[in-house]
Amino acid sequence: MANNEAIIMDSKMRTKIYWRYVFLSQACFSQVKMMTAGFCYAMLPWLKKLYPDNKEKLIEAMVRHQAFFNCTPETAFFILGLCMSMEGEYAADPENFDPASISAIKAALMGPLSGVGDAIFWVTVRTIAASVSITLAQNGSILAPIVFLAIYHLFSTIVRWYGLKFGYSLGNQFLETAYESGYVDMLTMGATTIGLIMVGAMCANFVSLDTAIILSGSGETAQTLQSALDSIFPKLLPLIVSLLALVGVRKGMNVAWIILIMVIVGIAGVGIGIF
Amino acid sequence: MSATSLALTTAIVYYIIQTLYSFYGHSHLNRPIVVCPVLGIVLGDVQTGLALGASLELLFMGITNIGGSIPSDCFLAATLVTSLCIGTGMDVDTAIVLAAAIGVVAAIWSLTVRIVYQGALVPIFERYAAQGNTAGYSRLIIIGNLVNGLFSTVLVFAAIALGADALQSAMAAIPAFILDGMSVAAGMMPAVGLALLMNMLWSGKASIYFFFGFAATVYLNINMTFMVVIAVFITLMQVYNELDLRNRLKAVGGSNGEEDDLFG
Repeated sequence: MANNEAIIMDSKMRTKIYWRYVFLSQACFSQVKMMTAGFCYAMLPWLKKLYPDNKEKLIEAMVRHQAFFNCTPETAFFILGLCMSMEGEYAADPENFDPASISAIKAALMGPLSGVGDAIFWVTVRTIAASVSITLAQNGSILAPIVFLAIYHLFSTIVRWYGLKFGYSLGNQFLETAYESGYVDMLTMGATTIGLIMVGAMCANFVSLDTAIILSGSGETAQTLQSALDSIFPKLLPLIVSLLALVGVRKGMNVAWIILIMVIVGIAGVGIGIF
Repeated sequence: MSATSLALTTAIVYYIIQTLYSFYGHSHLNRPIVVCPVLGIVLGDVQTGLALGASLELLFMGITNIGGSIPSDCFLAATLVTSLCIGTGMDVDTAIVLAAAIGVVAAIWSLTVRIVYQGALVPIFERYAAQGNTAGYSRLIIIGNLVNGLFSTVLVFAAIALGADALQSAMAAIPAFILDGMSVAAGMMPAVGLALLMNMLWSGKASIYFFFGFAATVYLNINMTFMVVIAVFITLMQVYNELDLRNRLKAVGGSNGEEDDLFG
């Protein structure tokens, strides 16, 4: 187990963080970092409790949670709980616990939990809620919007509340086992591997760029560069964009400049017919 | 009701719903089935609001903003169309056709706000994080969220004040390459956030896993849930190999097992 006794999240703290994340999970949703702002905001009381008078560690944690985050808000609560248990473990034992595994776990889980979450909430729950309430609305009942929201939030609230709770306790159990067996360093190795695989998958899923350059012919029969690329390496352009962005970030380029370049390239590219 | 007061009422209702929505993330308050009846109550014609809510919810049912994309902004579209229908007596069928068109253009507007305004906030959040300024961070997220709704509210006000005809001709006047260019740019943008994430995990040899994840998705069409299953298996193989290596080193090294890390 850890050197120092880990600080335990009590139910008061959990309730506080639950509401902070319910309210602001989608706040300041930027195209670059998506749900990052709200995730870090929700965690702030916990981080302050872990580092009441260690400003350096607090900064380190806040900067760590500035990383890109995007997930179905309902299932994101599970990741939030998990990250909180890991932050607690790191605060208790900074020598043996590598904080890189926190970022790695986030990277690893956001993709699959979005897949599951979107399927459950955007497709299934919303369709059920909409189909019931559309019938009510067509019959002129003012209950329609109320029923719609009630059905949606019934499912949503259960998943959010228990997701946070289970994420935290599961994280603690897992970390305890890892410490007892003495292989906590493997956690970082494993989490980094899963994280990188999932980031690769997310680049292929989320980043998009197609070229409109025509190689030969015109109209319906035109042979485009994109169709040629599709037969060799379909997502070559998104891969190049991702790697260029990585190079920019590693060279310490300001994120705002990278975005501006993308806007200019996008508009100019469409203007001269490349995209 | 005069065009200005109609525009003002609609804009206020829009701003309130938008702000409630962004202060209760993913609450679906901005779906047509909710927006249209609420606007109907305020403008004094609940039945038209309900009818539009049902039709527009059906129209936009298949459109989901999965993965942070905005294919169509049904909230803005539903607000404008409901207001025009009740306020100016526009035909419901015309309104539904108009809503589909507005939705696409409105999505570009929402995207621009996300790119320009929210993008400008990102470095400020980063600065507060680097200073450990929790109070500043919390203040910024709330003010940022309150201001966010204003951009589209101005658009709603202008659109209703100008009327349906002006709206259609204004939509036609925007050069297509700018709209398309913004969509292209938006498609590239998640790369920046993902690059920041990659930067934290990236190290010489481990980078092959990134390319594995990318290639497996592209060539095998694996969805993300299945991908994580494969990733777990790869990781377990790696961990078992490492454990095996350590056990063997322990067996060979005997008493000075402590120094085995040097050879591992």
